Amino acid sequence: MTLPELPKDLVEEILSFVPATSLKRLRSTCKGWNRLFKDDKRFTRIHTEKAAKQFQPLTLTKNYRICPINVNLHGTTPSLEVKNEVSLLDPHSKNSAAQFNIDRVFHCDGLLLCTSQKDSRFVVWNPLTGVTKWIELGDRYNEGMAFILGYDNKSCNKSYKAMSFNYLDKDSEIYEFSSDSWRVIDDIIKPPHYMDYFRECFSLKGNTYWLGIDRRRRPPDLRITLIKFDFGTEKFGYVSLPPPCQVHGFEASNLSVVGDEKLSVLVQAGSTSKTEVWVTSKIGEANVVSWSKVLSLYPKPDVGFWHGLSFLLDEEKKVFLCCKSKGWMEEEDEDNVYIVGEDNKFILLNFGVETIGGESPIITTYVPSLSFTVIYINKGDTIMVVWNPFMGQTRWIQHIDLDNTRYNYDHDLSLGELKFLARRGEESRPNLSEMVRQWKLQ
Amino acid sequence: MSSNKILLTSSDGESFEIDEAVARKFLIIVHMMEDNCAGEAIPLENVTGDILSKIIEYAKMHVNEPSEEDEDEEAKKNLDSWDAKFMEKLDLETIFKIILAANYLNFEGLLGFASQTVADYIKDKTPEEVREIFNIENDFTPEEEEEIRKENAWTFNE
Repeated sequence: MTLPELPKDLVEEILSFVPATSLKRLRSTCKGWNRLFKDDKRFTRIHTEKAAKQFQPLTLTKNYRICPINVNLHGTTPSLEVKNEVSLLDPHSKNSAAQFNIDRVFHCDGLLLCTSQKDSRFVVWNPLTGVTKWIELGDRYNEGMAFILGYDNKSCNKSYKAMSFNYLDKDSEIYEFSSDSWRVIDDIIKPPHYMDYFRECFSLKGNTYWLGIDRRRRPPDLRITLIKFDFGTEKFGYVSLPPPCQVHGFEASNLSVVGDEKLSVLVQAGSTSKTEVWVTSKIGEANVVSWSKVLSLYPKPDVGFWHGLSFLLDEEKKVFLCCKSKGWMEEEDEDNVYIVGEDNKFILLNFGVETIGGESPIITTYVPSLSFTVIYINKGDTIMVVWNPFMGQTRWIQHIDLDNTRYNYDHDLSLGELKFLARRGEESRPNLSEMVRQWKLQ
Repeated sequence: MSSNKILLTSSDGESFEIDEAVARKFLIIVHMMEDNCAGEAIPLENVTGDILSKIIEYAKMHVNEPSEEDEDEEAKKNLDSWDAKFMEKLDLETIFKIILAANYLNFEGLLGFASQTVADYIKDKTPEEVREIFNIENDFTPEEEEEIRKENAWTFNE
């Protein structure tokens, strides 16, 4: 069967529907495709809109490594498999094969923000394309720091920002990648400064959500509410919780994301052991969301859903996965999860690996994407390079000392610098790459 | 409400008479209709009869495209099911021809759907299989390919 030849734009149309992880595998089809997936910002934008999203749960092991988890909720025997770890090399280590020991990971838009204990850097990493951006904190660093990542979802150029918050009562600061600058947040609601709450922070459409104390109320009427940080306006806001939470006796205890457009909370009825799983409508721009109840669970007394436990929800199949907290009275130190559906049958599954310390496995859902690309353009005889590493900044560089010969450019984003190797045929021009390396990101 | 009939002629001389509402799904025809005198057949030089008949079949089903806000879940499900059966029967060569024709006719709905179908078909294929499908030459050296394979240490569905 000889297939008709499709023009380039129609092939790209087809590729824009192929899921991100398949594109990664198809990089080696030809050089043109490899460039398209890695470097073409226009294609990235179209692909993000068109291709079906994939959702990959991740966990953090005791060895400070990120492992994908394959969760199979189909049929009568659900299963869970923790896959091999993903490696992130530490560029500052003397050993070239040394990996970065990740003790915290925060996911936003296909990017993972990772930190390491006692390390004054954080890294934003796209595991699909391999692109990393390391930020050295220097004097800013203190051991109680944690970070979240977000972007302004109202602007057409996704400008990524990171926000720090502290265990100590220091100010929170925002770091803007496009300008490589920090500024203090002066909004009234303090971000969570209890490290436990950090586990419950989730990113949705560029903004971060977590359960925290409603500071509009005074003791003894303190309640848990849903707090949102908008990375566009850089302001905090309150989001209404499901109806039962307005009533005394019910409390939202855990938060999670469903897919990449909805939030889910567990609502506990204080006196009984009834737990309800509620899901939002698709999160739009306003702080008002509507909630619908997906499941009502009646766990036995030894199954406790405490603050900070991760959970996953398959809204369509109405199946719920929740990490089991390690009871301090019990002998077990293995990690387990519960899977339960509408039938209220709780199935206990062993995680298979030891996860990072604390009460239970952490599960973050990662959505692979082509974000964070670098582009360059050859323009006629005067060669101009445009790069937009962090989706908010472009720089034009004119190579004024080149003769009119055409050069091919390879680029290599490592250690936060751009390294160009100009090639003319087999010959390379090291002088040029030296020169480029000295140009700092402005 | 009278329904105007439009006459289309394929590149190999087949004639198709369709309702104006259906013809309006092909944006290229909308333009041609404005230039055309009433009653004359519109020639479609780049589409053969067999492909055109398939495209018209699809267009007829999608004439009353439900909007996203539409509450009728049942109707949506039925349409999706019909779409799936429609594509299932077609071989890859035909789907490619449909993509080319839908692009020429500027029939975005079918172009997107057919592209999605091919995307689903290739997503689990190896680079070698994909090269054959799109008639692409491998311009990587074996060393370069190996480099990429090493970079792709993490794949899902392993």
